[in-house]
Amino acid sequence: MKNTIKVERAKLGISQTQLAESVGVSKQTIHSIESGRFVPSTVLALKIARFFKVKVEEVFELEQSDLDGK
Amino acid sequence: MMYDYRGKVFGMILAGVGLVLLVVQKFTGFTVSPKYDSAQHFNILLFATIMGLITVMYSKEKMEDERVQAVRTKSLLYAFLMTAGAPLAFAMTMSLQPDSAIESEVLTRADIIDQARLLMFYPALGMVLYLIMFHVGLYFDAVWDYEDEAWSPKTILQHRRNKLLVVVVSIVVLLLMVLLIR
Repeated sequence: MKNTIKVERAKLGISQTQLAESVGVSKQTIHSIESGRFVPSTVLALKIARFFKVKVEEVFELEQSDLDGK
Repeated sequence: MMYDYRGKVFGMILAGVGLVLLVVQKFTGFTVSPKYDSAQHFNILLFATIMGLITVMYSKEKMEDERVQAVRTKSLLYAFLMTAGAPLAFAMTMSLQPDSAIESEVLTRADIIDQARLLMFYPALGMVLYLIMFHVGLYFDAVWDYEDEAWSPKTILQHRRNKLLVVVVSIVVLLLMVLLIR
């Protein structure tokens, strides 16, 4: 799954740590999500989207491999 | 069922002190109580160290989020595989040795075969308990995994049927396993 968290963070000028604190996770978790190594839960994805004041589909996008079930 | 972060700190202190004393005891053979010999003192310190590590294992991280839980689950699965695999491999090797290779003055072939069986029993028990808990949780009890308080007295009472199912099935399976290996 792709995401634009880094871009959204840059728009607001905030660090991974600040985002992590705002949504209640560790900085390592935000880093793992940004680098595509960890897929957040629905709740966390919604929290992140709400923090950026955008829709969740604008931050997270399914890739073909997700649709193929791999 | 997990301690908060302070449990981790306590566990690390206990394990750390235990480990240092273990090493000192190993090389000096010191004893504290005249009731127990040096080897028993070593075992007592080993037990304390292991209890410290268990406390660390069952304590939350400072920031306990979903990624930590995912990492913890995977780590436990792989660690268990290695913990079960090593004694199983060793026990099978012992069981399949020719008579001349394994008999000694103290242990007969039958003793060694029995020991090998016992060695296989403990990881098997862990695996069976895990499989019971996993499948009851998966098919019967949605509360199991998603609530931190799944084993609190209030939740146990509310979902007593499922908790009872795990206990009863585990006891039955345990008895069958004991009968099998005797």
